[in-house]
Amino acid sequence: MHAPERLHCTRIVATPTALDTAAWPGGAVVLRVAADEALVAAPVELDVVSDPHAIVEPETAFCGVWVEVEEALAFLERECDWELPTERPAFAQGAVAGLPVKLWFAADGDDRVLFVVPAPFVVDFVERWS
Amino acid sequence: MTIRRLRISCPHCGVRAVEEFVHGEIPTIPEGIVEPEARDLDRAFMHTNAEGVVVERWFHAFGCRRWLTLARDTRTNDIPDNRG
Repeated sequence: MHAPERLHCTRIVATPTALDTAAWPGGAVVLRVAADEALVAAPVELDVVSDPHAIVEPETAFCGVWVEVEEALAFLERECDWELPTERPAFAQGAVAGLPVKLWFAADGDDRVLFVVPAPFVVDFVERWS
Repeated sequence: MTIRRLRISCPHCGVRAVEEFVHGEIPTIPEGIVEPEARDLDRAFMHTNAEGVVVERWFHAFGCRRWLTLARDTRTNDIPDNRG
């Protein structure tokens, strides 16, 4: 695994309906971290969501690394005690190796998994991976 | 009586171990305590720790970072209406 690198994301807090209907930038990874919050791994314009009270802010508090799915699943089998999603693409989040980790399983045909880790935990994450 | 390992079903993230959550008791202050400072003291330090079904708040710190409310039987860790 390569060392996770700083992600330049956009955090959007808006109504669930506005997030459901938003037109995200093409090809951007959109992590729906909560019903009313999304983390988009790309710059996003303020008017991307229809909610006039939406909060759209740049977010650089996370680091991410793409990992081949076989390597990722081997690690997750060892370090994750909750059920992983089987559909693709899919988003999941929770404790992995004792750290709060977000996972993005790419669509079929792209056999990679994106691990998103809060920047302060990157050192621990790398240590626990090895 | 069997005490289960506590697993909580987060409505957004799914079933997770209790270690992913932070417990948030909903404080109940006896009506007999009327002085504001005494009420603050009771709220901060006098945890109810009731035996039986209690309504609690849990914060999913490792996941969606949202609060959820559930009822838990403190004798068995049973959570009605919870898939965990």
